[in-house]
Amino acid sequence: MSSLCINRLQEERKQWRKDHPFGFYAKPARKADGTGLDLMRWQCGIPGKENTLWAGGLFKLDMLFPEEYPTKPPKCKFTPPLYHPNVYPSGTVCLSILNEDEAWKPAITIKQILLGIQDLLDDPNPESPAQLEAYQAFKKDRQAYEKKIRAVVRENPAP
Amino acid sequence: MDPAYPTSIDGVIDLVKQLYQPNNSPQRIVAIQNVLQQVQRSPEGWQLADSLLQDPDQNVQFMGALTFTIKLNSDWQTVPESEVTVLRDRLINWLVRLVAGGASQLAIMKMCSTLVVFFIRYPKSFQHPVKQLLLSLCANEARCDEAFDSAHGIGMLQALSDERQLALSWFSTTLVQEVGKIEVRNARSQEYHKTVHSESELVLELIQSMISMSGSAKLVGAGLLCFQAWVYYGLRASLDADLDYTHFKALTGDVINYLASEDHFGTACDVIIDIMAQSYSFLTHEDNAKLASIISSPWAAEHYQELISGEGGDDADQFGKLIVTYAEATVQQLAISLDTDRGRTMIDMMHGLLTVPGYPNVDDEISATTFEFWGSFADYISDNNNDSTEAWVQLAIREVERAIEAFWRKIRIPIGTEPSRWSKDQKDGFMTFRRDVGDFVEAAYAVVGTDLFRRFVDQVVESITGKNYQDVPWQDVEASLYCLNALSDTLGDDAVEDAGLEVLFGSQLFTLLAQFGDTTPLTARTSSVTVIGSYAAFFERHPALLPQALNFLFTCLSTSHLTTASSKSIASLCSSCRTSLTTEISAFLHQYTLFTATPGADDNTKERVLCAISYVVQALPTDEAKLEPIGALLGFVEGDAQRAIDLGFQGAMELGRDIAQSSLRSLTAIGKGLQSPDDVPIEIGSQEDLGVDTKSQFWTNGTGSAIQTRILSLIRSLCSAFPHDGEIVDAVCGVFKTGFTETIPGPFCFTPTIITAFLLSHSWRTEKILATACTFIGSHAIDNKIDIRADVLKLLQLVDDLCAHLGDPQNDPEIAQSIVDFLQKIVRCYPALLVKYEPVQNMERLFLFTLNSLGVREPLLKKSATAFWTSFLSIMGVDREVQEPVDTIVVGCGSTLAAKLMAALAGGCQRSEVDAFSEPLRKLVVRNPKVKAWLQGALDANTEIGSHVSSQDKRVFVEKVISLRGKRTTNQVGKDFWLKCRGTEFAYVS
Repeated sequence: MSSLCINRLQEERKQWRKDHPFGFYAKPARKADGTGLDLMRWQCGIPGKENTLWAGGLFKLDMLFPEEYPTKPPKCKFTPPLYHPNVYPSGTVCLSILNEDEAWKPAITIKQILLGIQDLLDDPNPESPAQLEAYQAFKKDRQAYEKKIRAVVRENPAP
Repeated sequence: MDPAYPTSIDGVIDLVKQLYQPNNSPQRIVAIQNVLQQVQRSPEGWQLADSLLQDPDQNVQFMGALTFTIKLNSDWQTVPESEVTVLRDRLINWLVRLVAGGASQLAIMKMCSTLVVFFIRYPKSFQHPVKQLLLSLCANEARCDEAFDSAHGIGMLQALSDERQLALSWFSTTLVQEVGKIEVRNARSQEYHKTVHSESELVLELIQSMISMSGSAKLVGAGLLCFQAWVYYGLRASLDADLDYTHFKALTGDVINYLASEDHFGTACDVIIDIMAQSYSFLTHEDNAKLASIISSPWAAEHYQELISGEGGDDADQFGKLIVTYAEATVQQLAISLDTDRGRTMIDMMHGLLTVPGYPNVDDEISATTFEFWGSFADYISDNNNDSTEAWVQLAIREVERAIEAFWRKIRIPIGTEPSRWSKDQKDGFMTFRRDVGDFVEAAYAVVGTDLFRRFVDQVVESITGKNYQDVPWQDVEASLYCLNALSDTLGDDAVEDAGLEVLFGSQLFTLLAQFGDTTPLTARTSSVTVIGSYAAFFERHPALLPQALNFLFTCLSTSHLTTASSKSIASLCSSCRTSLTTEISAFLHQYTLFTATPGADDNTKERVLCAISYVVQALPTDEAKLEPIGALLGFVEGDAQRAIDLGFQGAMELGRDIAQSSLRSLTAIGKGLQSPDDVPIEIGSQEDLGVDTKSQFWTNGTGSAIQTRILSLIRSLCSAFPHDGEIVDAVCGVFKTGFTETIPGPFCFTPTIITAFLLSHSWRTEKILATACTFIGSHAIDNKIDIRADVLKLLQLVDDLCAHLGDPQNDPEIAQSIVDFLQKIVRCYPALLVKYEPVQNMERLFLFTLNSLGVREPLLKKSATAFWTSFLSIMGVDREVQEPVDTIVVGCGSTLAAKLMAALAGGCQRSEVDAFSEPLRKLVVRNPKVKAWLQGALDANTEIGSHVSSQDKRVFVEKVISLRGKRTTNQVGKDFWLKCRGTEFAYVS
């Protein structure tokens, strides 16, 4: 593992513990063998924004860092996969700041990524659909879409 | 009314004065600003700036300086080269005049920042900005920098009036703030950094002179801010531009001294916090000693007392930040020096911060700022305690325990009306604090070990033992349960830990709660419910404790705020402990009946509990034994379904439909619960050895078929009661899908004929039906036990019809995508069915459809089409009777496919799609010798490609692609070509 990557992730962890937005969480996952923390894999939670359809929900997300981080962005994956036009069936989030070829910059912090994804929840980008089901409903049948979102929020309540 | 465009200088001045009049409406302000900006941007802007600066009014002067900034930003490229130094001197003269004339701070600061903008625009014409300004301020007019001599410079600084020193410091401060914002990767930025660095000695002298003890308060304040800006900048520049700023260390000691000054405490504190947070090593040994002695001085003790009394003001908060930042920066040192006076003082202060009165993030803002310190304190111990008998380790662990105790007090949820007075943000803040404490408890466990866990267990047990129900401190119990929940992922199956859990779950806690639940605070019950679910694996090892726990959970189901948490815990226990619970099935069914009769029984909970009971049913040893309970479970769903049908019949379609969907979801939940658990290793072939009959017809043709018949009849009656309801069809597909993944026959594993018949008869719900068909085909392709080719062919015929009906994929891209996805599934699982599909022209139409799908607007459809072709072109080395038609199709489609791929890579697709289009290209190049001609021909014929891409470029691209023979680097070559075709507009992203 490159030291650049590890140093940066340790700094991210430090900054997060010092201060982070309410309702969110983010921490390195435990290693599978139970011997401490795996800095390359973080477990996060993103709350739905107030006054939106997503309010009251808390959505779990895994952040997987490549060896080349922060040159390359982490992969963000909702677990379980989330019903949303810009989330692939695998759960991976499709967002320009998470795309190496688009808006990713090494200076983007974990906090900014999570806030960016929170914004995306209620403000999907119809230009880059990632799953057919939510995308179609969002475009063609807003009522069914909203009904489904409400069910998703009920299934993932914030504590 | 919008203000008119002014025709004279007086008119402009008048407008500026209007802008600053009190009681202006926001609309009025915007309107005036719009007009002013037009004037400022106009060609007369430069002269206007001069005129405004001549006016005695400070707001007008400010606007004059601002006008220069605006012109510098918008028109700097149009200033003739010979005029640049003239402009510089004009600006310097204005600054000098404003300072000499005693202008307001507002106007002078704006003039300083205007000069910084000048520097950013024309760095070559302002190579020694600070020196030149110093000379000019001394001479009272613009001077060039050549006359500067550094020995003389110091004397000049000391002779400079306060006002001039202030102006010079404001300029220097803004200078580094702005240069610090320039992207490091920008090649020119190195020049800026070097210039700034060449001025740093002088600025250091300036700051030293300003913060000398004899300086006025204003001078000292500005000097401290200037130091802060330079250190902040310098620490980054030393990394980014490899420039040395260690000379600034010389002043840190003086800044630390200002902590004791009442006037400058806030600023000095800010500076020191900044330095410590950014680079602790910037502090020298002496600085450190000084800081340490200040922090343990009586002066600090006074501030500290003020802080923890909860009644201090801003200074107290600032002091708190100083302590926390210092502790964070010195955490390792502190951990090993707890036996010293200084170490004790520091750690005691950190503990003290956790006793500040109030609720965290509600009215106590300080305790939540200590997580980073405590987290890294615990991490340091666990990373370095190779020998846990070392004295420092023991001492440090004790401090972690103390901190846990304090945090435990802080997370207790107030009883009564307190929380209802909190704002949403305060509630979120408090809950976030609790979660952060949970994380710290986990980190602390790594160093304290089982003792920590045992302490929470004991706390709970002691709180309830021998007490009257009403005397139990439920707040405390809840806090301990919360911490135990936080530990659930960390604990293993250690015997000591299991013994602790036995004490907890064997205590009368759950009996008490089940009995007096209604009068216990809800929060305590929620945490109790959750803790059971969190330790499901423990109950698996200790089934004797299960009934008591489950009994409690079922009583909680009917409390509306607990239904979600309790149904989740029930599901968790039933899944983990299924084999131990099979004797309880009839009791569960009874509990479920009771629960559904309560008003709070919502759909989600019902589904979850049905799924939970089904887990247990799945664990029954024989299919025969499962018949009765499954029948009972179905009975519940049939009841709901009948209600839905009745409602529909009475005309209450909306409600009926909702209930119908919910009953189908219940059916899905049962289907899921009956699936074989994931953690049972299943290997094809070995199940027979284990005595599992993988070909059993018990459910399809035997005694169990009665169950399947009931399920199907339920489905049919709902579908006919609510005809043409797409969501009902979707829900039915969900039911069928639960059987697809099964490798052992079960009640939800229907014959392919039944599935296919349902799909075909509901083909109007095209997308869902085709998606389900894909899953169906995929699942059979894995185990291959049953030949479903006849069914697949029927589905393919359906797709053929759809395709004919649709024509161009662009006519309905969503349906087109379902079609392409389906065809891809066929290519992967049953390619022979597609390539030998008849009549031949229909087969060709299907391929043409996928080709056309490569050129549509919709990204999802394009992606599916590229995936189809990637799969298709990957078919190699299969039976001759399949390979031959595949090869023929490749030849037939080759040039069209090449044209589509080339059109996309020549800039037609989005940048993020280049990879997707490169995949089929990589497969294509190794398929046929004609590929080169196809690709070249496609590029030559493409009229969309701009003239800036030469035929040489196109040829080179094709050569490269061919010579790479499908290697991964093709994607990069594709990206480069795409960029070239799109032109420079995208160059920045490379």
